[in-house]
Amino acid sequence: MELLHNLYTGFSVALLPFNLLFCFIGVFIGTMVGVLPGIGPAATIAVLLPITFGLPPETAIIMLAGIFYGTQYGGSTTSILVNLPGEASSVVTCLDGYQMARRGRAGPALGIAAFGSFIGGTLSVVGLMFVGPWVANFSLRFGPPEYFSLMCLSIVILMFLSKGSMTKSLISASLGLFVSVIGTDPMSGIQRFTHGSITLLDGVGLVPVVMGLFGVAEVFTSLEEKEVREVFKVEIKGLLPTLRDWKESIGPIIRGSFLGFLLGILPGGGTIISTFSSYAIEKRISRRPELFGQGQIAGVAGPETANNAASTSAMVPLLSLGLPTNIITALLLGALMIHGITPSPFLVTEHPQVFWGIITSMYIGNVLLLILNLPLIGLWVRLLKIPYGIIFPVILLLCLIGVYTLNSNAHEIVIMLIFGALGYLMRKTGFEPAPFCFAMVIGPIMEMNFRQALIQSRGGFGIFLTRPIAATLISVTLILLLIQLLPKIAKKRAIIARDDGV
Amino acid sequence: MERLYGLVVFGLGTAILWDGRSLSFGSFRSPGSGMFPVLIAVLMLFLSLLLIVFPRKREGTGQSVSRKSIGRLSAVFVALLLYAFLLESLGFLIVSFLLTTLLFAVFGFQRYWQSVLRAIVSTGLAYALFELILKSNLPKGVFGF
Repeated sequence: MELLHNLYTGFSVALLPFNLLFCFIGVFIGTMVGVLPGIGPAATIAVLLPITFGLPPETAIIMLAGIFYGTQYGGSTTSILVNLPGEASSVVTCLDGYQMARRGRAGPALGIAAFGSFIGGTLSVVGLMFVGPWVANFSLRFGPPEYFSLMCLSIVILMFLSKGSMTKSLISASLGLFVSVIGTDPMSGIQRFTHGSITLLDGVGLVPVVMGLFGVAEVFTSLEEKEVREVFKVEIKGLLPTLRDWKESIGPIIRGSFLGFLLGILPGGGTIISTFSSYAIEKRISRRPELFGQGQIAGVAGPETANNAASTSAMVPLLSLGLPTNIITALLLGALMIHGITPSPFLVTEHPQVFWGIITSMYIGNVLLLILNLPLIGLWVRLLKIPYGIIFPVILLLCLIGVYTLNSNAHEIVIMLIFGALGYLMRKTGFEPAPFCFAMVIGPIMEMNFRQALIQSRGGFGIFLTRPIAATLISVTLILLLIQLLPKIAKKRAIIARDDGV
Repeated sequence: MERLYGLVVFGLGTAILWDGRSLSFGSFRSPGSGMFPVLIAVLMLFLSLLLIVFPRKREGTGQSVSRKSIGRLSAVFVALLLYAFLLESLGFLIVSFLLTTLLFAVFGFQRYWQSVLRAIVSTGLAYALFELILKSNLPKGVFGF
């Protein structure tokens, strides 16, 4: 009964015409960004963040979350039609999706991707509904040492899954942590590393940093690349998969939903890794694994379902623990805090309209996405034909205006440009920007919990090792760091790891 | 190359320690505002040593950059910086028009009137969206528009 009541609360928020409109705007922009290469969900959310300041918090998050899961739909379109993944999480879809398109079956491939995404997203929302409050309840036992350990673990897992050397990823994260301490120390009121700058008093803003690292830097990198895109010229017909297609896909879809849901919840885990796992599982249990890579519909259905399920379940730790597990949920956390809501285990009880409103809006968002992506597929295909020469100047202009309008402060533009240059250099030198940004968001929470834990223990570091939950989390963190030293594992990691969600 | 990156990071860590020397470290019983930055800096120093002592081969050698794209890149970067410095004195419309004209030209439209036309359209659309619809108070500058 309580669940029904909660659902009622949620739908009464999500179905307000105003929220419905912003949910639609969110998934629409998300699909668009998913289709367009060169700009990902992170930069988009950062660009649009200032626009949401005037909105109620739940409306803002409904829209921003819509962008996130919308990109998972859009990303598959380019994978199938152009063999170019719009997002990293649809890399796997290229394998069989593009092959299907080459054999004139682009329609069913796009269709099953959309239906799979819909089913995965929806099942994951159902799971989120049950697991979210339970996790929130469990985490009431968390004190500062547990939070600190959990954050150490998230950083390490995120690094484990990002490409390139672990040392460099850790350096990137520690730089992010440093940037997060610039500004006024919340516990003592002392200014740190501000050098008298008024702009820096409140710290380095998340929005200029993300726009710099993921918007401006992305454009800089693309400045030197030549444009190679060839849209598949076959007319798309028959989007609805046949009965046989369904028979072959239903298993992968159901397995993909569960897999995606589980991997999405884990800190650092996420959409990318779930697509690779789903593809690997389907290939392994298939009776004819040799056909994979030649246009098997199961190879599209499984991964496409899994990435959507994962992007939805990543909301579990965010909404119930206040802990982001990837860079997108880190941005959503930043957005919530700007709106004066600190996600914590108390969010469910203190702001039920936010918690349940966001969750139920995802049901609606998935329905909207199905409508957007099946009948309107032609529109997205046409979007693929816009040249980079138009897209990139527009992205830069949007970044400039977006950052300026934050506080009407031109210094913020300079900060964004500095981080744009930094992001470009990092990409060129093999340092990943994602751990940097992630560490920067959770830095302040980490520092506060660290200091409180020490005060609580009167200076003893034993507090991180004697409390069972904290000790478990710290041990897992250390194990992950140490097994890096085993060359076999390091090699495997290099193969499966991809940059997450950016 | 890896060693060079290590040295840069080592320098950064040292700079943080030096710059933060006036912040109180406190004690482990009551941590001060300087403790966390010091710990981060120490972590950075440690990691940079790892990079210097055990540099990995075949790692991080990003694609080389041609001289031509360095030129384009610096031109765009300087233009963006100028945008930041001139925005409030010249006003949104003028600087945005100038910047987008340059960007469209750099990104591949050879005929200058094409770039100008696209710049007018995109500046106009941005103005309509941010100033007229979202009312975000874009800067007007000395000319009053």
